[in-house]
Amino acid sequence: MDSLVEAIPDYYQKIVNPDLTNEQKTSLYFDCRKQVDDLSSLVLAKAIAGRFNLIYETTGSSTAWLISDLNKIKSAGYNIVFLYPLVNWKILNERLDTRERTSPRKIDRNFLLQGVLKALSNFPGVLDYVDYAYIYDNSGSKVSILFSYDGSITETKPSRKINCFNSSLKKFIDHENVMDIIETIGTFLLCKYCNECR
Amino acid sequence: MSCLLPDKYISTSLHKLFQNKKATRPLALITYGPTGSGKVKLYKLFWKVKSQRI
Repeated sequence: MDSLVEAIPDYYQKIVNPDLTNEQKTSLYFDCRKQVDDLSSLVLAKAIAGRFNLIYETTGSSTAWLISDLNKIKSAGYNIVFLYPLVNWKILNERLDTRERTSPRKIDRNFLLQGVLKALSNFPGVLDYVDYAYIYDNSGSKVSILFSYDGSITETKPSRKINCFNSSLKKFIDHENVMDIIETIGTFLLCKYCNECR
Repeated sequence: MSCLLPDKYISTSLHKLFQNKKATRPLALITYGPTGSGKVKLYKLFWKVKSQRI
């Protein structure tokens, strides 16, 4: 997505303007992003019509559009695999600091934090539309699967496997101001989909 | 620090989905998460694995 945004005429010249604040750069990015989203919708429709395998990338900040697309994908008979790499908040910031040294795009951290929280809280609602789901700890070189889902949440299947990640969730965002929110989200996730944490 | 997901995790969790070369259902791979979480690297790795299987 970002490569396509950067290909929009004048975007790059504007985004490197040192007089722009991070908020203004974020606004500029999403203005241009709308154009790319329109293109993305056309590509998706063509892919589904041709029954191509497809990759769908989303931040999870808002899932209304995602769920609408998932309905189209599911109706077309696709095998839907959902992958969610979860990264410790502090490490995520460090990575973005590194990325921003070579990229003109600056990510507003408060905006990002809200996106991280929304992605977590939106995650349970997506499970109803996918065949498989996996959450990975992608915070470092040692990677582990935190959560796996195999089967439809609306059906009772003995083979359904959901791993509790209540204890591991807290380590991902240890920001003191958001701990309460995270714990609420974690409890919601686990109480709805897992009895192991009770 | 590496943010690449090792092949072995892709293998253990997802390879099995592609073992049947006669599978008729197309695949939709949904990568989800904030900027910087590793979505692009994840699907590149995954696609590499898949292309070796089918």
